[in-house]
Amino acid sequence: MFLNALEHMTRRKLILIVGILALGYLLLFWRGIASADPQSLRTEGNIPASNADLAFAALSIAGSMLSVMVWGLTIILGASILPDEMEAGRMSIWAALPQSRFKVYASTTLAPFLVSVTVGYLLFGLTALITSFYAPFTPSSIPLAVFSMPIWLSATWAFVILFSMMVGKIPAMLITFILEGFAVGMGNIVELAKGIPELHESTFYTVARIVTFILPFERGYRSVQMGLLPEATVIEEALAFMGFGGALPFWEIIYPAIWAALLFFLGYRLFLKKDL
Amino acid sequence: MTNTTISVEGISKRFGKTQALAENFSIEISKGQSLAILGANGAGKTTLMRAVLGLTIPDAGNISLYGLSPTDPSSRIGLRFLPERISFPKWATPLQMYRQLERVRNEGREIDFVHRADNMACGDLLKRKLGKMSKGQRQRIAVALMTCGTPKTVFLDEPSSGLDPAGRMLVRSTVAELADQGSTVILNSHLLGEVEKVCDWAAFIHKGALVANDRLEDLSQFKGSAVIDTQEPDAMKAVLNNLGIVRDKSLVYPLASEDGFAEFTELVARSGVNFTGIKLHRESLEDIFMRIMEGETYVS
Repeated sequence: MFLNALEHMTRRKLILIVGILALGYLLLFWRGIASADPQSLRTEGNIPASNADLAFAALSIAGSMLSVMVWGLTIILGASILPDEMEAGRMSIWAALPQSRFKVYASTTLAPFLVSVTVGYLLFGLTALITSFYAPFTPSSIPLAVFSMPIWLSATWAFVILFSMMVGKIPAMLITFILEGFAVGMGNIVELAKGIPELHESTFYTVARIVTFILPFERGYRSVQMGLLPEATVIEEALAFMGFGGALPFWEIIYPAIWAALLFFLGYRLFLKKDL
Repeated sequence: MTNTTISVEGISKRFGKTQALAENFSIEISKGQSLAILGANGAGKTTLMRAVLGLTIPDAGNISLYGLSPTDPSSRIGLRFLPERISFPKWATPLQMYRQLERVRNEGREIDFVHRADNMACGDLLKRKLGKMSKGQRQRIAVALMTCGTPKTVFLDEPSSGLDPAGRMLVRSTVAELADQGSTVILNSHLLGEVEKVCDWAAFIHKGALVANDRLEDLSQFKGSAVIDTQEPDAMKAVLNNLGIVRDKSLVYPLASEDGFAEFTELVARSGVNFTGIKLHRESLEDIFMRIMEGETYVS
């Protein structure tokens, strides 16, 4: 069943569009990074930027765009899969075959997750690889980036799957996009507060912190970026203002996965009671 | 060993304010039975079929498929279901769809599907994308996908939907073939003529309740009726012991057998009530359907 769902998923036109967009982006990125000269850049104190600084700049700028692309793909695929199968009448055929409802639910929903994570690995991985050709650098922690990718996307995936069953495809997409944006904004506040003690003590920070626990969409993304960014740069202070306040504690990295598992289970309970 | 394939005991199902299946709905379906589930639109036929398959969860009652709960995947081994509405992925060919189904059910041979597709006159379409087929061609493929091989039980919800007369005839012969090879067939259809030809049993559902469930031959309580055309149907009914149904300017009077028709004609002639014609009418499934659905009875 998982193979069937994966086959359906990979045949969608959306995947082709994402593939073309991704290829276009990679070619543009390649061209851009190839023409960059770190010697022409100056850091604080008029010191010429190093390769690591260039890599940092390239990866953090590209990361913002890539995150939106991968997030968007996860939301659209996640929100579509169950409503589309039900609307087409195929879900009743799958569920009438000798397999459990859990198998139908898990196979159908894990397929878009696998596609999103694979696209995420490819886009972030190839961006880092292309960057290293022109600005050799040592990533902070490749295992952290690899480990964090599925965790990051799991939160969005589980949330949108659950909501697509509750409110339908389009409302689920909109709700998730809006809440994602809100969560990222609040996450930035939390990161900023690491460098601004006054902010750390404010109510605003407390609210932001609570939001990052209720909607942990962006914690994993920060871990992916923290793992990919160069180990040593002279502009670390700028990190906080770009929303990267340093490595996250381990429990905070895996928390979105636990949250996603809970939502996945809630989604299953809902699916179990659904008339297909 | 029990011969019951499907047992439905005291189930009910409500969708919001709509009572799709009335309280205490029960029915038993035996192995090898070809059962037509009949009823008006919204009567609960599809809900019953879906409840039996575990696709709709009843609010109360028990269902067993081969002695197992429909939620048990083992209960669905050898079972096929063709829903009323299905939209295949446009990119897939019938052979790809068959292989996808077989990945899960793992009980058929591709050659059986090819044969069934040939029987449904769509064998030449097996490598064409479903998105490039007409509605009727897709329906033929759907029927072939769900009836190929030797399934134990087949649920067909309006299998002739969107088919031309030739296609409907092929569906009939497919259903008849399934019944001949011993499969249990449960058929939802509005085409009573189709049902009459291929099913040996009919269950009538009216407003979510089972109002009749019998062999087709036994459902026709009176083998036929006499239709008397008259301007005074009520007066005619009164002189005929108040039996029969008044329909517009005629009286439909039940006859126990055709043999009694001549004698009955004489009785009408002697009644003193004016009439313009009298003819013998054999009760079709459509008549039975209308009689049961309208709650009509011959006895006043």
